[in-house]
Amino acid sequence: MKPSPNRKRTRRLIIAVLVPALCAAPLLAAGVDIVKSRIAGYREIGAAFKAINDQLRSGSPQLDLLQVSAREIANGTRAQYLWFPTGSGPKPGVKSRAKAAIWAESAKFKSLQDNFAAKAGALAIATKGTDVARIQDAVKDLGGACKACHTVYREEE
Amino acid sequence: MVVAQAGARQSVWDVPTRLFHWSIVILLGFSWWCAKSGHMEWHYKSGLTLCALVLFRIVWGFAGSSTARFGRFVRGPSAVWGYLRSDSAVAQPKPPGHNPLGHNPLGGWSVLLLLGLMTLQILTGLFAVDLDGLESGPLSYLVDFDRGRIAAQIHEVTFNVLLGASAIHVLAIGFYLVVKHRNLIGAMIWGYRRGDGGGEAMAPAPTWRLVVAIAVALAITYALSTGLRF
Repeated sequence: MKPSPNRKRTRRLIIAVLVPALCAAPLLAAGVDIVKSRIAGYREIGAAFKAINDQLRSGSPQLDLLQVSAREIANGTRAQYLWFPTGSGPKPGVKSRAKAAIWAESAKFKSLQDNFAAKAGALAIATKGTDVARIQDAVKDLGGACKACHTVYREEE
Repeated sequence: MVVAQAGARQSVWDVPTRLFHWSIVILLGFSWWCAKSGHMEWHYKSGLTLCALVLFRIVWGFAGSSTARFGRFVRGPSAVWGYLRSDSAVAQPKPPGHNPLGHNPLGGWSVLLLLGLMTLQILTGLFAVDLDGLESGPLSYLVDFDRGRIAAQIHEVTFNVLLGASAIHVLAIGFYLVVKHRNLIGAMIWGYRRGDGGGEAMAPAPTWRLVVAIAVALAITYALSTGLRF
């Protein structure tokens, strides 16, 4: 028995709605995931930065702990290039403080990411030595690189 | 017991209590501005100064002049209820000789609330860590990053509650000024009111107690600023 024209139309409609929805679902989920992993990644960097500051304020910093934390930050700066794919800004159901300017001014944003990576690399090198004053300077520079980007591209809490 | 003559100057608040009060007003606003504008080094210093002030006020609440003492103005629920029924609920100026000197039973609890909120604000600030791990309180090394973040979040919420409590405090003073024709601000600036012939006069604390209270507040604040690392 042949399906009626009405049934055919309904079937086509279902296919027309379902197929794109099914295709879009992983993309939407990926948007949520990338925001989550971005937040988690920055959390790791923040925790490592705190660990470095805790050590430096203690008056007798343990160099091996500084090295581990500096390496974590440097690893984070490599991963950061993957954290801002197009479309990973705030949208309904996805909370993010990333400003739209990140994607509108991608070259400027990338230069600030590069600066962050360079300063993190300098800190990682500094922690391989024993000159605490040099490490402190590198930490200050790195903090400046964080702020330079967050001031422009992160919404206030 | 020394009772003021009608129309004569009647001491209400001593100099340390008044300095404490207005310093808190200024530094609370300044601390907020520093945090908002990213001047965290000044926020840190302002917070430690507030810490010393609150510590001083707590000591002064036990050893200070009579009107500054907790034992005098913190009263039980029945006293508060009695005050509410006899005083606040009736929007009429009171006859001479019936205005209590210092905090009334309800105002006493509002002082405790404000001091409690200030203490919580300072405690959470000591442990707080910012989102980037760049700025942190002097005791934050004792907690991990996530707990430091929780402290920072409580610090922010407490500030908003403190703003609300301060607004109620100001509204209450406005109520006294407009409805009951009693200017409470003048006494907090100049230290005295025109005696209405009622209430026991303020008994000032000796200077040595002031020196001890300041020393205690400064010593504890200094210890906290070093992260209790001796």
